[in-house]
Amino acid sequence: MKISAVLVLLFWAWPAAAGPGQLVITADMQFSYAMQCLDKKQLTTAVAEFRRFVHFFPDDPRVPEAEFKTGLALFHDSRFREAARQFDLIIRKGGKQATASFFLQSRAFAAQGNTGYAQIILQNLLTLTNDQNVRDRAHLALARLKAKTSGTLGPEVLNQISQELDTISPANARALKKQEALELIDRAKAAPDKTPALAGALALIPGAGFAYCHRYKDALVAFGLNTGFLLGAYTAFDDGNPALGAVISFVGSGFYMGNVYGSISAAHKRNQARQIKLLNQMFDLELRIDPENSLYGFSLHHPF
Amino acid sequence: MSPRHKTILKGKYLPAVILVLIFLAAPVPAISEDTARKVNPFVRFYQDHISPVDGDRCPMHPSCSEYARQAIQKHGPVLGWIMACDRLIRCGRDEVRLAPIRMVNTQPHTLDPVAANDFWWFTPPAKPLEDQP
Repeated sequence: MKISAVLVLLFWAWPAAAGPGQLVITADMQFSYAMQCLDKKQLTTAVAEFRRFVHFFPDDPRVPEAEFKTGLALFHDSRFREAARQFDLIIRKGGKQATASFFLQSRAFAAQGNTGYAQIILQNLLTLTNDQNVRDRAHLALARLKAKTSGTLGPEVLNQISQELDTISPANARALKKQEALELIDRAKAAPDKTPALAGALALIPGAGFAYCHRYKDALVAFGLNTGFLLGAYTAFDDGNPALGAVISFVGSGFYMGNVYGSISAAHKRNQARQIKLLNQMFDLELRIDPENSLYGFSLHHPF
Repeated sequence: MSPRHKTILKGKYLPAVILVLIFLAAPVPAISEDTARKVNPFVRFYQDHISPVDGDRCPMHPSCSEYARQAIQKHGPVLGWIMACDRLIRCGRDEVRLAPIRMVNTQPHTLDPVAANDFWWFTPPAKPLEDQP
């Protein structure tokens, strides 16, 4: 009896035994702190705190949410590889966060430059789900990826994007602004106003190709440089100095062909810029550089 | 045009001119980074000896010499040389108002990588799917 009384007293007094300066962290406190870190964009800390929550409170019903938030924090912290792994874990477990994880995993792969695998993930989602809302969002995301994968927004790519948007059901067409997107794509198809072949042909007269693309400073430099090299080579040959003439001709030929190449390139760049300007009315499409893969493409942000 | 000049254009130099044109038209595969530096002593010499003294004055990113090195590495010496000449024509002019700006060493630079000038004809090889989780 005495022993039982002592045990009861000890158990009752246990929190006090932790000491007045010590704190016992409950699941609520841990989850709330992790959420606070995420809200304040303290992403590295948020990842650590959500992981701590999952480790110390594995039976808590909020564990799936904590795992999802971990992936979200990793994604926003640009740790895309880790984020993709985290979302893969959630997808494999299933649950109500799995659908959102498909989209986010796809975006994480796309952010790493692996747009091929990003598309495969969305296609897997299309195979697995019958939910029309999810399917429509997946089609929209696939259209986005097609734009992103392409280095240039040529007619073929724009047609593929249109086809993907066409598959969006009438029920979600309004919410996902299907018609507006299709109209913009039609306008983008008609946007190019400079013919690269014509720019190249005009560039046979140094600088004319650049001038055709409204690059007047480049045109002036191209004209001056090529005229200078031509005169220099002519004078060298005329003065009986073929070696010097050959050297000047060789260097000059590079600048002449550079002028032709640059003119064709300038026409393509101008056309592309006009298309992006148009599509930006709906999508946040910006030119981006992927340093890892040396890709030059588009980064398209759209709320999915 | 002097008679000597006509001889150069029509006479014994003509085969050499044709050979040069054939050389320029020939497709050359991309080469490794080390080879690019070895085969292009001009870029190497400029980057190792002149640029450090001359200072970082190119308003573009990557700089023109680095652009030339990358273009030669990516597309071989012929196309790389042509693209480098194109860049020298454009450096610091209309491209500055048209291309995006990036901060490099706290200074604004005009972003103009090789990929921004070959996107209309060159598609990089697809990335292998080895990074799957």
